[in-house]
Amino acid sequence: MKNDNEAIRAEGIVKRFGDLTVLRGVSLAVKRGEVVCIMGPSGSGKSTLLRCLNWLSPPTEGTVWLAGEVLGTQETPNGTRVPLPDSKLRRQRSRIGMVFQSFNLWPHRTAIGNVMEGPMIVSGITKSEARRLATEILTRVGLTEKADVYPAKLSGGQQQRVAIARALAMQPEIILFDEPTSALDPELVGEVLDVMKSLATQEITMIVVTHEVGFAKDAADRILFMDEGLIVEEGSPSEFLENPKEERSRQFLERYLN
Amino acid sequence: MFNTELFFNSVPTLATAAVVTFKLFVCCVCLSLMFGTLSVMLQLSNNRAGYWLSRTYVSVMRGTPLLVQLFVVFFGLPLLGIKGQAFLAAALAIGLNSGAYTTEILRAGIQNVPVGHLEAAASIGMSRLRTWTRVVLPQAFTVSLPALTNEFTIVLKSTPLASVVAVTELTYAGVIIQARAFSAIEVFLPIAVGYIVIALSFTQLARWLERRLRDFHT
Amino acid sequence: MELSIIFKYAPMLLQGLQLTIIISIGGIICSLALGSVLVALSRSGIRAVVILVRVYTEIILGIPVLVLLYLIYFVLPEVGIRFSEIPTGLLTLTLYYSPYMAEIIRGAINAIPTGQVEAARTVGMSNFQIAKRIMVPQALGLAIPPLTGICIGLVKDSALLSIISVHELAYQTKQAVARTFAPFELWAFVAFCYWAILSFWEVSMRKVEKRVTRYREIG
Repeated sequence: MKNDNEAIRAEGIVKRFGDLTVLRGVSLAVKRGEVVCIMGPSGSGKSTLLRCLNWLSPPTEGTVWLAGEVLGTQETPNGTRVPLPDSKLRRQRSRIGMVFQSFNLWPHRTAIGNVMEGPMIVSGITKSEARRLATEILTRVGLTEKADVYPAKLSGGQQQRVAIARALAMQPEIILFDEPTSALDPELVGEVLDVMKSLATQEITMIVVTHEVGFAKDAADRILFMDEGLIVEEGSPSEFLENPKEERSRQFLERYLN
Repeated sequence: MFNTELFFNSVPTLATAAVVTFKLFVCCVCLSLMFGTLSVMLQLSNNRAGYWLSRTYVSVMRGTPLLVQLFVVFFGLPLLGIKGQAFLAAALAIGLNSGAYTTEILRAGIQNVPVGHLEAAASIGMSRLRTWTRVVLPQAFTVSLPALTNEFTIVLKSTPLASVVAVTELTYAGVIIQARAFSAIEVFLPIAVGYIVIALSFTQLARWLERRLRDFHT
Repeated sequence: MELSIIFKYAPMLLQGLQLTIIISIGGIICSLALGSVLVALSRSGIRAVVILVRVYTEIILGIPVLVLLYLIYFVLPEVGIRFSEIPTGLLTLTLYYSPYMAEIIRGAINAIPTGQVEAARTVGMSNFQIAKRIMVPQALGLAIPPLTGICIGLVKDSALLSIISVHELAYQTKQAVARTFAPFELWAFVAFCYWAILSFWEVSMRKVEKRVTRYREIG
């Protein structure tokens, strides 16, 4: 399964919560530097898929490879698969960034504190190095002057940009975005999308769950459309957005384009 | 280990004492509501002296042990010419103490009454006093019912303190019996169970009231 | 007021105050420790243990402290468990206050949104790092006000230990009262002492809370 050009691959992902099956066998592969948007109606399993891809909620069935390395489990000498020890899982997780719908900034740390936390605590670099790194990343998301401000004093858009900076600070191989603009007031959506677009041009691998058709059109290399726990259609933005093959995709797009 | 005979022989004494506990409890609750209402009205009135009097009362009651308050009242009453009134002293001390917490509960309840209701009352020409008795207080008491029920559970749990000034309520009856019989388990176990059962029914009542109120408001 | 009486008995009262402080600190530490254990047990997922903790909590919510004190002081020796006065007092305060402490700890932990913990996981933090760097700093700020209230309750209830002859402040006052004819003055003075100390403490804790939760201020 080794493929040097592959950032992440998932095969046969099934996720059940009790009697409820949310994912019914999802497979996907994302190349290095590729930007993939996942669209679909709410409840179609998009967010759950992202949470399986970084093992926040391990899939019931299926395998995920991170740059060719199996995620979350390891093989025992007698051939069975067991959960990876926590320390190794943590190292894998730190290679996958995540940006949440509700930002999830740590309110007791300043903007720069949020960005420094990971490099300092997990990667173990010194505080001054972490500060230099964090300052540089905050500049990339346009928040240099807000470095020492607590999240409570930042707008939603600024908080989400800090959250993106926090993910970037770990220099992850891939960043997962879980509806990053859904919790924002309409006038704040633009600033976050602009940051994400600039990341897309910087060869950063991204999987973005979003309803923002405009962003998908401009920034995505590929769009996956999910419904009822399956990927039902995939294609380039122009193919998918202008000429969807499936009836379900058409209905969905009609609602979001108008 | 458990002497059944001693237990049954104690039942009449304990029953009489339980009645005293009940009376004490009722007196304390009435006094608590009285002091609480009075104090909260002082605190929310525009009178500065009244405000500070009420604040000081609440602070002192919350900042000193009930046992010490009880002794202050017990030894203070004779200075006012009231002698040998242990029951009165206990009821007064517990009532005063609980009144401070009732003040806080009622204040929260009153501040919960939307300003719009006051404006509505004013707009139909209700007097200030009328607005208080017909609009503010009824709502404040209803909203505060669960918290008040919890507070009165605490009052019940405070009544054993009256035993230190020799009021023969349930706990003191227990002390007397065990001192005579040199055996404690037969009296204190039933006493403990009694308190727990009654206090927990109160807590359940409070939880039920809280649910009812929530349904009422949504 | 007869100030001379208070001066005369001041050393005796101070001795009592010292023991009140020691027992209070001991009680707070022990009940916090037992409270943490209760939280851990009720999160253990073992049904029997969870129910046991629940029953214990309900019993404590229903029982008067004084009755609990008598159970430990009078009843336990009859079944062969005997402690001297100070340990009896400490045990009473610990058993009585630990469920309240547990409730505070539980509330503070639950108040931290799960998303914050997940965010910490995605950068690769360990459970210990998450507890230390994300949960505790915030839980502390949330817990300080209710914790102060419960601790003050514990200090006040330590006065009950005078009934079983623990030589704390209330007991020493009783002794002083027995030797004078000024019970009201002495008790009022001691009430003032409790009030001054506890009020000072409450105000200080409010300052501490403000410091710890500065990050919450908006604008």
